[in-house]
Formats: sequence, C-alpha cells, structure tokens
Amino acid sequence: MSRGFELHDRDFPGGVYPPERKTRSTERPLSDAPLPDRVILPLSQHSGRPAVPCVAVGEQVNTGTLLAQPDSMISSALHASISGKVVEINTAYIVIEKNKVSEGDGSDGEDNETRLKRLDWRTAEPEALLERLDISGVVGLGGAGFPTQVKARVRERHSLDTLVVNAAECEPYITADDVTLRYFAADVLEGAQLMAKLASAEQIIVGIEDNKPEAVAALEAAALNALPLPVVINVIETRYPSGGERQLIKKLLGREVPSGGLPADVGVLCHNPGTLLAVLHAVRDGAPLTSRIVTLTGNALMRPGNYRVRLGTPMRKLLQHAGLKDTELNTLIHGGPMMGVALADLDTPVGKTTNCLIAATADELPAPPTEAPCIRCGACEDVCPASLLPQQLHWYARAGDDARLERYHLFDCIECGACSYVCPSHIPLVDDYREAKARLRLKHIEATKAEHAKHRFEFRQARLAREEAEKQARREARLARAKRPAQAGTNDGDTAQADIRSLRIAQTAAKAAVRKAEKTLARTAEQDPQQDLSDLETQLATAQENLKAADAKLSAARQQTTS
Amino acid sequence: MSFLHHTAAPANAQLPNSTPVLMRWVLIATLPGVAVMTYYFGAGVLTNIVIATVIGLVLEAAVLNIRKRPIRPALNDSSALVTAVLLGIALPPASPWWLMGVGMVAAVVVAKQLYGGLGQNPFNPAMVGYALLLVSFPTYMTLWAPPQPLLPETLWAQVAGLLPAAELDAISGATPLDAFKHKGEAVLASEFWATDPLSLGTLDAWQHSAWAWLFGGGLLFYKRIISWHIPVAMLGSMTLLAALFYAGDPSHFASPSFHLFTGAAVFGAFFIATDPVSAATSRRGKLMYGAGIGALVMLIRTFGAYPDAVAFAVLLMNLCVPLLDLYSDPRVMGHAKTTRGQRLPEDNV
Repeated sequence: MSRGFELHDRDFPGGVYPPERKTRSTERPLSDAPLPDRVILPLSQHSGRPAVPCVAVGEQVNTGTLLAQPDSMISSALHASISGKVVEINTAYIVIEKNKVSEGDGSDGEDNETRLKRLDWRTAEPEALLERLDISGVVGLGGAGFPTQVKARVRERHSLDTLVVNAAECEPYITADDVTLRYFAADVLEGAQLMAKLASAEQIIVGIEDNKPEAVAALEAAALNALPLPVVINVIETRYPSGGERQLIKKLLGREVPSGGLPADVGVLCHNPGTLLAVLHAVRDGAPLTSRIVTLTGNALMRPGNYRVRLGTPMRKLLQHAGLKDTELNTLIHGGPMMGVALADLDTPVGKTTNCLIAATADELPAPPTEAPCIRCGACEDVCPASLLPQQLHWYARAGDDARLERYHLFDCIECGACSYVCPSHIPLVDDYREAKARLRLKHIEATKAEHAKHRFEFRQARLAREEAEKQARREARLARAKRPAQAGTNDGDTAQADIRSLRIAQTAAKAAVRKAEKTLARTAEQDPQQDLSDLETQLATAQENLKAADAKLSAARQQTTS
Repeated sequence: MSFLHHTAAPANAQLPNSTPVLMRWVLIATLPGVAVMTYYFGAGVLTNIVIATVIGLVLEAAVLNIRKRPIRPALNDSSALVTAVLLGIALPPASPWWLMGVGMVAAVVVAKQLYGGLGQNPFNPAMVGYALLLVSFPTYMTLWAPPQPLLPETLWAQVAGLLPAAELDAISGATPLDAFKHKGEAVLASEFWATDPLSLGTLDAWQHSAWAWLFGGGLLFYKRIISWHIPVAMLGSMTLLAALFYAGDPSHFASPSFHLFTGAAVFGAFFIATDPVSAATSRRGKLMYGAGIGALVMLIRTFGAYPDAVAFAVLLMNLCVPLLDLYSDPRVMGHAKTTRGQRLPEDNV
C-alpha cells in the first residue's frame, strides 16, 4: 500500500502548544533545600524489582551509605540521603532520622558523607564503570526511573551509534533539566561522554527546545571543548511532546523506534541531563544518588524555584520552605500538568523520579468542565504524536471492544495527554486508555497462564507417552532375545519396514521440533533476558520427551524386525 | 490525567475550546450566506430558520424528556440549533411551517435522538430531514421562488400553508440547475442560454449566495472548526468530473463553474459534508469521503432524476463511512505498515 502522505520525514506528527508557565521557577537561582531531620526512602523508586534492605534498625548511617541492594537484574540500589540512625525498615521503605546532637553517640548531628573511590572514566574498564553505576543507585531521573546500568548494558545486545541527551523538557511548568543545564552543562556533557563510551556510540546529540536560551548558551559553551566525541546541539521548536523519547528520536534523527521496541533497536540511547549528571557524580566523585534537583512551582507557592533536594524529604517540608500558602493549595501534582499525577498526601517523600511538584491553585489548573459526547471532530487525531486515531480508541475503549483497541494500536499510545488537552468535549481520553491498557494487560496475563497450563499438560502427556514407549521397547527387546532369530517372519518384513519408515519420519519431525524449540528459547532469552522463560522451557521439554518417545518406538520396531 | 485543558489556556484561543462554542461558530459562519440569501430571496429564508429552530428545540427537549436525559446541557450544546438552521437554509424560502415540522421530526427525532443523541448518529440529521421531504413532498421542495422583495405579499400565507399549490407554482421559478437539467436533449447549451431561461437575477442570486457560503466556510476553516479535507476533496472531485464532462461535450454538459456556483455545492461542502459525527474519521478517510460526495453529486445531477443531489450524496457517503474508516487509518509511529483494511475475525461473520 502506498505511503504518500508522510510529508515530514524528520518530524513527529501532531503536538500541542500548551501555556508554558516555566519562567516562574527559573527566576530564582538554584538553591539547596534545608536538610531534613527525617527521610522516608521507598525501596521501589525505580522500575523493576524493589531493592532489598541490607542494614538493620538502629544502625548508624552516613549520607551515601548503602541501605538496600538491587534485587535481580532490573532493580536499583538505595542509599542513605542524610546521616543518622535507621529507625524503621518495612517491606515498602526505610526511615532515617538525624542524630540529636545531645545523644553523644559518636556522631555529631552533622551531615557526614560516605563516598566510594573516585574513578577516572577515561581510563577505567567498562566493567568497573558498569559496576559503579550498579552500586550507585542511578536511575533515569526524567520520570520513568529505569535503572541506568541496565540501559548502559544494552550494547551487549544492540549496536549503538548515537547517544541522545533528552533536554527537551517539553511539559509545562517543569524546569529541572533547564536549570541543571544552566549550572552544570559541562558536567552533563561529560556524563554523556561517559555513557557514550560505555555504549560505544559515535556521536552525541543534545535535543533541547528553543524556550531554554540560557541552557542552550551554557551547552554551546561547554560543547566547545567536548572530548572525545563531538557534541551536536540541536535546538528544536517548542512543541509538546517533543521530549517523548520516540518523538525526539524521530525529530533529531528521522528514525522511528519500532512499536514495542526500544530506542536501542534503531541504534540510539536516550538519557536525561539529570541522569547524566548523577552518572558523572557516581563515577568521578564516587557519590551515590542521594539528592536531585526538583522544580517547586505553582501559584500556591510564594518562592517557586529549583531546589537541590535530599531524596526522601517529605514534600510538605519542602513546599513549606518554598512558601506554601496552605489555604490556596487546590491540587498537588507530582510531575507535569500533562502527564503527572495528583497526590493526596502532602507527606509523600521526594523520590528519584520527582522532577517537579506543582502546588496549584484552583484558578490556575481548574477541574475540567463536564464531559460532553464525542462528536468525532478529529482535533485529537491532529495532535496525536503517534499518528493514532484517539477518537476511535475512545469509542472502542468505552465499548470494551478489546480486539479493536489492539487493531487501532492502543499500546502505541504514549499517554502524553495531547488529545485530552484539545478535546472540545473534555473527555478524559488518556484515563480511558490507561484503564483499557490495564484491562488488556490483565487479559494477556490470564491468557498466558492458560497457555502455560496447557503446555504443562502437554508435557505430562508427552512424558507418559515416552515412558510407555520405553516400556514397550524394553519388552520388545526382551522378546527378541527370547525368540530364535530363525523364527523371524519374512512375510511381515514389508509391513515392518513400512512401520520403521514412518517411525523414522516421526523421529526426524520430533528432532526438528526440538531444534525449533531450542532456537525460540535462545532467541527470546537473548532479546529479553528478564522475561520469564519457564513456558518456553516447558515446551522444549515436551519436544524432548516426544523425541525420546519416537526414539524408543523406533528401536522397539527395529527389535521386532531383527528378531 | 491531564490537568491542563485548553479552556484553561486563553493563549490558545485559536482552537475552539468546547463543543457548544464550536457549534456557535458554525452558526456565526452561516450569517453571510443567510444575509445574501435573504437579500435575494426575501424574508422567507428567515422564517424558515426561525420556524425550524423553534420546532427543533421543542422536539429535542421533548425527546430528551422521554429518554430521561438531562435537557439543559443538550440544548446548550446548540447541536439541534445547527441542524435546524441548516435545514431551514436548505428548504425553499417561505416553506410552510408543517413542512419544516415534518423535516425536523425526521432530523432531530429519528436521525439523531433515536440513534442515541449527539455523537451517535450515522447519518447527517439535516440531510435525513431534507431527503425525506424531497421524496415525500416534491411539489413544495422543487418550487423555489425567483429573486423577490424582502417582504413578498404572499409570505405569510405561504408560511401558514394557506396558499394553494397552483398559486404557489405561479410565483415560483426554476433554479438554474433545474432549468438546465430540463432544457431537453435537442437543445444545445448555447441555444438554451440564448433563450434567457431564468427570471431576472436568478443566476446572480445563486452565485452571490455561493460566494457568501464560501466566505462563511473560510471562517470555519480559519477558526479550525473544520479541516480543509472534506470541502477541498468534494469541490475538487466535482470540478474534475464537471471538467471531464464539459470537455467531452460542452453543448450538453454544464461548465464546472456552473456546477460549483449554482445549487448547493459550496454550502454543502463547507456546512453539510463537514458534519464530523457522520463523516469519516481520519484525515485520509475524510478525503475519500469528500471526493465520494462530489462524485455522487455530479453523477446524480448529470444522469439522475434530481437537479441537485447534495443530500443524497451525503447520505450515501454516510453509509460508506464504516468502510472508509476500515481502509483509511494512518500509519502509526513505529509501525512499518498501516493496518489499513485489516479486519478482525468477528468482522467476517
């Protein structure tokens, strides 16, 4: 079928221009938030499995002391973000309280820091760097919280050529990356060089929206002495959601990340500036991830701005530091206004993925008007950055038509909220999609379970058949030994030969099935080592049982003819 | 969940921010056309609109009441108002009140509310009403008065439905499309025009109205209430077919400009075919949908029994929308090919 309509080869489709509201938080210089007396550190601040605590209640810790270790491959370490005493450990989090000065137990209530050995990334072995990332608890600070060392290892399976620094920061309100770059552009680029070295990338491209001139200037100055790789700074139009990984890669490189795939599939690795800064700190300074830059903004704050915050700081404390006007606070949003979530509890701790907190008044982010029927005006289609048909997805999501939801590519939706933003009927489209996705995922899990059960049953059947065939073969062998060779009927010879032929065909087929199962297993294991392979292993075992049964039958038949 | 909506963002005033606002812009965009038509065809245009509106709103409220749905939000969205205004414009000026009544019952009650209300109707409500009237009351529907003063003497009798059909016939003339269609096989186009077949000013009236509709349509486009796809595809396919016919035999087929600027082509392209609810969904689908309407209009005008055919063409293409939707979805980012035309097992039942 012809594809004559794709006019913009190097741009992503759709997009919206929401009010930016970014200047409120960039007018104040970056400053340190006050050291909290007490921090709550969740064991799961990253995607993957929660970390496993390796300290005991009552233990004295310094800032940077390892509290919990990564569990399995996709997981991340957790470190103390203040010095003090571990006062609580449960399945969800670890609490540390600052020592009181009067206690006199050796510590002085100050902020003591534990650091690892400094490493020079230019000379260090890649394995040493990966291990350092592994124990430093660095995760993607842009929002998803994907463990950085796992991403760094992606080159083991993909060949990469480009490292993209995703500094687009396209959501309104958020300025954490902007400010990070204004202050630490050189360090961010050094972190990028480090990650590019690990990935064996050949070029570094910074994608940044044109609404951050100060950050661009800082980057350009820092890029002058970029070594060893050249750094290209690509200033792009401010259009939401240009910071979507897939959208940015399309815009910068004209490459499309395949559906269900990773940027690595098109030779790209994407990192957020904050993450690169944390990477550099972990390697160059030996400092694990214990703090991050957070944008505090919204009209309910008197001193909006960017603050360097210790992880685990309760949000209430932080917002009060920024001058929270309690009576005017209507919604507290974690993240941006397009994709963020409303927080009910002000005492939630700041986590590794907390890039922005919006203390919004009712006037600035009012509740949406009542939903009206969809009139299929197509405004959503025009703005969808994935070329989906949101109006059709809406229709099928409401109808619970799962087959059509998949046909219209529900799972390619990046949940950016551009459709909800423009919808003249104020339909909460993304909420519908998230709900439908959750329902479909559950259905897939159920289906996989049923499939798995079927495969286990088949395996059992195959095992029983194999045992029966082997028993039969042994019997035939016994009989053959007992009978005299002369008694072998020449008349039966033909049919027996025919039997053997068909059994040999069956045996060859069984061998092929085993090889195929082995190949599938190997390929899947290579593509995604984290995936649960037990189902494929069961299928392989079934094929092996079938092969053994075929072998046994064949040998039994041979015994018969030779006897 | 998105916390920003563009109602919260007056900076984006370019986009219509709610369905009622969108509908009101459609109403505003009809003003130039209505004004020009009133200037040429008299206050009968306005009586049509007013009567259709009153009947339409009453019917909408009554059905919502029966369906036990909230009435106020539905009336506020102005969608019934738009249907009424469009039907009022489409009918011959100073149509009797009961004609509008029957049309609005078909449009609002049957075509819209019985299918589930706003957003659920597969057919364009105003065109369902129009088509029903055209096949049921051809006498009233084909009598279109020639240009006349603002307040013709017979206006009130006509509206009240008291004027006998014979008298009605006497004060009516043929529309340009009608006249040309019935010129007869033996008459060449040049001979036909030489006879001065239309009442004074008829051609001007229709052409100036078409320009006014074009202006209103441009406003809809400027306000981003409609996209260019359907009007351009519809007028484009009409122009193409008309040009082909005309090039083949200019003595028996009308010129492209005649087809575009007399009759309901421009009005239909910008105000009728663009009804989003009953049109195709995707941009590509809208192009096919518009082109289909244009082609059907030309085929029916040229070879069919009716002089104009926007209503039938739109309704026929409404029927095709599920098919067009199946074959027009865009290629999604990250997919090498589209799933265009891909059907599900249950579709084959």
